Amino acid sequence: MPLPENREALVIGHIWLVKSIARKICKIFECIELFEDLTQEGTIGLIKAVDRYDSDAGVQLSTYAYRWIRGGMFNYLNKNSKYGMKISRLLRDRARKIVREHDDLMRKLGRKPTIEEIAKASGLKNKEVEEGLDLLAMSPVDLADLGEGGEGSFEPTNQGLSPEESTIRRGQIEDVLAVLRQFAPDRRRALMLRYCEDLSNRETAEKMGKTEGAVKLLVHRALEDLRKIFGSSPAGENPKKDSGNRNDGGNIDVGI
Amino acid sequence: MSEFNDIERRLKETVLIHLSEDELGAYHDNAAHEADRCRMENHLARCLICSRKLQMMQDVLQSQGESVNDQDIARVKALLDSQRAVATVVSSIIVAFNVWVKKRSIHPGMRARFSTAKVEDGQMEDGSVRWRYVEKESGERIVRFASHRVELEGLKIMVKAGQLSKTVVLKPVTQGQLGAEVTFTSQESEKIPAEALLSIDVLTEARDQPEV
Repeated sequence: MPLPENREALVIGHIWLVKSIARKICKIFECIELFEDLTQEGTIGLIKAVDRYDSDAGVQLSTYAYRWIRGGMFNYLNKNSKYGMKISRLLRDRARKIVREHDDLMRKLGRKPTIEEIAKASGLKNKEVEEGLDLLAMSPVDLADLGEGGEGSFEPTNQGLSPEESTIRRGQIEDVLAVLRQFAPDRRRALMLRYCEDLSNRETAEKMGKTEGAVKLLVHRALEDLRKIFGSSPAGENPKKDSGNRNDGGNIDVGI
Repeated sequence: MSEFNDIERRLKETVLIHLSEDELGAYHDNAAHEADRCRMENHLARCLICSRKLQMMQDVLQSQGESVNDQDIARVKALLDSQRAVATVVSSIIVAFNVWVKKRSIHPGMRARFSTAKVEDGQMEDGSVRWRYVEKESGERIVRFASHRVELEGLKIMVKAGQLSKTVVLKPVTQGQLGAEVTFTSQESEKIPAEALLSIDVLTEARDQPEV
């Protein structure tokens, strides 16, 4: 926690941020009469952010405080009988629907869906989609936490999966992502360039300033470790067939 | 070998996972590791929702146009002063309880043996928080807290007796009065050893993440 005199200066130095967020939220919810109350709640959020901020984490105080301030304001709005119900309804119904249709389209099209495309798929008006997107953009809630584990985010209706199957599938992908985060940066980057950016081994090598052979080895070992962790194997291949070939005695080496 | 095996499919689909608030913040401040930026950039390129979240963040953080007036500064000072007042009261409660225990020559520190008396009162030196310990004939044991300091609303107090512990929050009971009560039922009291100590702790920071 900063010294009292620094604490006060830091809070006063970031009041502009509180007011700026309060202004945006008032615009979204058309509740300008709540500006003062939101500023008060946002200031409490800002004080908490100042007290908990760790500059070693790499983000600036204003970025860190951005979420705390919105959190304070949304807590306040949630407790307000009029706006609380509105937020709850919008997040539960409209926003979730938008996320579901958006994610289906993103998967199918491989690009950003347009507002018109989301509106058509969801049966909402363009203006309603706009409002829902504004709410999602300002909400401090992670999209993955948007009720029922964010179901709908991975509901590929065109692939014949039930909601349960799509939730499992989403969980599988998140598990892979969680393991990837523990991989050494080089391994993680090689995999991401190969599979997220769809680059070839040669292109990945060029981007990483490595030889093609080094990239092949990084990717091969990383995939091998992922298969060991998740018990998955390429079609027709016995996952245990090559265990022990590694000089690490088959231990899972996440390359940390 | 299948060209698109399960792990490879999952790897490709990581790009569809939405960015968390922390990831968006790190991306905005250029604090994300290059290995993670690759996935973030690819996701942002195809996700309208996350790119709008990032755009909103950029708009707000780069605005800095809102002027700060005397009213804003007064609000900050008042909030910080009230927090300091709560912190002072919290430490006073602990000191006062300590004094109360010592006066009764029971035990040093923050702990006291359950009294054999049926009713025992204690309070802070300035009287802003009072408590009463009551042992009923049925064996039920009750600790009641009361305060006239409305700024202490929400103060969490934990009462521990042997292995049992209960937490209460000071809440308004009448206008200008806060109160809270901890009850150990007669069945619970039977589980409290005769030599058990009663302790009262004040919990101030219950939340660590912004909640919505």
